[in-house]
Amino acid sequence: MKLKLFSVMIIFLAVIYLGCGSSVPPNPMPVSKEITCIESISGKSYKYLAWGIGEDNQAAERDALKSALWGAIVGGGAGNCVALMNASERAKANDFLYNFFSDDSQWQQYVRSSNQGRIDADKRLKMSDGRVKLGIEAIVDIKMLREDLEARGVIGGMRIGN
Amino acid sequence: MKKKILPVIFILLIFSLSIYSQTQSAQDASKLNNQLVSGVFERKSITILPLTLPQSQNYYDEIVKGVDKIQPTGRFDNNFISKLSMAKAQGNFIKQNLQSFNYDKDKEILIQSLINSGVLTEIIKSSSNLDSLRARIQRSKKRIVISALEDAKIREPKVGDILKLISNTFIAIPLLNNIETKNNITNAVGNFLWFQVDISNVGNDDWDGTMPKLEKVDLKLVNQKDASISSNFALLSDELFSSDEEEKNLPADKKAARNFGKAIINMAMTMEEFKVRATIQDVEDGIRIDIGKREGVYLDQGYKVFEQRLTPDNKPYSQYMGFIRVDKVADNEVKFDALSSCYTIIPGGFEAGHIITSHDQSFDILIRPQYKQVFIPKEFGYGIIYSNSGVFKSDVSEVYNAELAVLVNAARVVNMTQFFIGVSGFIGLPNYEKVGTISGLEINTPLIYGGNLVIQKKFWLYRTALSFEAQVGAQTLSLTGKVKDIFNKEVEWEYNTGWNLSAAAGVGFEFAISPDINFGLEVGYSYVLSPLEVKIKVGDKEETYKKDDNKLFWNTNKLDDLQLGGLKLGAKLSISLPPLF
Repeated sequence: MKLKLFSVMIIFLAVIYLGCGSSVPPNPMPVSKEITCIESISGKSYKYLAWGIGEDNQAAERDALKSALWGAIVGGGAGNCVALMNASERAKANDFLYNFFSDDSQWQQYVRSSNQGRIDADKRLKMSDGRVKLGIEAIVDIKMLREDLEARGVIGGMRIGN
Repeated sequence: MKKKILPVIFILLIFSLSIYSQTQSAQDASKLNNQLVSGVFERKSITILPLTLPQSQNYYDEIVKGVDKIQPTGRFDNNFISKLSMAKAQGNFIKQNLQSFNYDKDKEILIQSLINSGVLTEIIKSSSNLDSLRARIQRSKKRIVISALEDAKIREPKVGDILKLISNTFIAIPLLNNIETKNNITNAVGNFLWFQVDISNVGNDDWDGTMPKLEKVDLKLVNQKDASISSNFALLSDELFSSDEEEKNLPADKKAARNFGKAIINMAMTMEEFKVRATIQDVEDGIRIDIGKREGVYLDQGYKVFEQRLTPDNKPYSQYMGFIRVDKVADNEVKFDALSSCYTIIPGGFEAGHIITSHDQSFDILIRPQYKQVFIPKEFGYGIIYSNSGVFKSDVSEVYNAELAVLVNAARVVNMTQFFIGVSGFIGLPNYEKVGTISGLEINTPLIYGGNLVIQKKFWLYRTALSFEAQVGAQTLSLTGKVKDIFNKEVEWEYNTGWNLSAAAGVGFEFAISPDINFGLEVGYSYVLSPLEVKIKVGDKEETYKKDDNKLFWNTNKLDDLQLGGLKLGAKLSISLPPLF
């Protein structure tokens, strides 16, 4: 009787565990967030050296682009590029950022790689856990991003009196 | 017993070499695994500055001519300084009156004499002239702006970038000590020294386009080797196909001196500082790499592949992955971003982003033990060695061969990958039983030996190659020994079938143990013409007997039935050597 009960409990827990595991969506947030601001381009764009981490080159490049965009919005990288959000805006933006990075059609319009499909020398490493770490030069359209974030009320405008 | 042992020895030798090579490969890989191999190719500037000791200064002009003959390659920027400056450096060095040169003892004298002669200043000025620096900065950039709408800028160089280019200046010194002749071979003997310009100051400011101020310049030795270059030396395979009538007619000592000047560049091919490096860009549609003609890439050039990795505590290192060769060289002098394509020799799960470094090779040495079917009639030697029988108890049908071949990859000449030409020589030991012994007559083991011209083509598929080979040559069957003459004096004798033309074809499989070592098995067939003459030599007396004039002899010795060719089976071990000097 005790053995039967124990077996039923194990099966029940296994079903719950597997069921929970299969329904957890992948985390859309950038993993690496390792960026260095290289330069500002005509005041309209920022160029970053952005490192991304992923299962393969494609996933790592995608993460690098997200990391560059994260750096442009939130900050946290090396270099002189100023983030769009201030500290209080950042504290209130968790839900926005999660939804923003969940939707490819949203975030991909603001950032692109200037590598033109090439991998630069010494910019790809295999980590000890088997994931790929890839460095690319990412260009973030700061002007368009700022205008859109202001329009959504995520960041304050830069007009006098605002 | 001896005949049974020989094939066993051959097979043991081959397997020992295979195990040794695997161990060496594992050790090499392990050494490299602790280092970080960079994929950044920084084009270096090379200035070759010949020098001699006082006793060999008469050969200085020949060495300079040899240096002038070095073909430019896209791998380096060849920096030329005036002949007057070179002569000043030579004159200053001669004044030091060194009778021999030992680097550890005499390095300060050498470096100081170069600095005092002013040649170091001229080399730096020449290699770091502003146009050259600007051109080299441009070539080091990987992406260009290709559209007017694209507003992405390329990062402008810092002073540190310029200083790095200047310290990518190398000086190669072929230093001739003596010309020596021994056993009719003339060699130029000396040292090959490679120095790198060592600049102490750094710079993080943006470069303003002018020559940065250099605070302290010194020379750092990066490589040195004792060198002995023969008058018959030929550089790589290109030299074998070139013709220079003036050079061919030079006396041996001048030829050796000239070759001494030429040979130093071969050393650069194996130095880490000058290896061509690149990154694999694509593996979907073949393996494609971002270097080409501009970097001096050539057809069938080999590249080792590495993956850069991080340890659990985030320390970077490089893991050796495999080996590839170039099968199409991109003309990236015309189209900047064109990619060369490669095929796999040793696969390793290659991915875009893997680093490659050049691995140049010169000759291939092939060691081939073989079993061959022949027909040597038992009547062979009838009336010559023994009066009423041949040498062998029964017809001989087996021979154990050991063949040594030297092949050169002729891909660049014939525009076909893995196409080799070369020469081979072999010795064969027939598996036989002697009729008996006679007092006073000594018969050595009969030998079949010969030489061939060889052509070979390989087709690779993931570490295994199918190889096809053709040979033409000549071989002979030879019996030797000693006999006591009527004065009871021992004289040597030889009975051989003269040189018989032969042709052979074969097919085999090879397995790449490492980038430099292949092991394989092969089968083939050779056909050898029956002898038209035999030579008999006793002591100093030699006579040739032609078939047409000695029909009876041919019949009694069954020489028309003699067939030194037949089916052959064997193993082969191929070792590729680095560029030699």
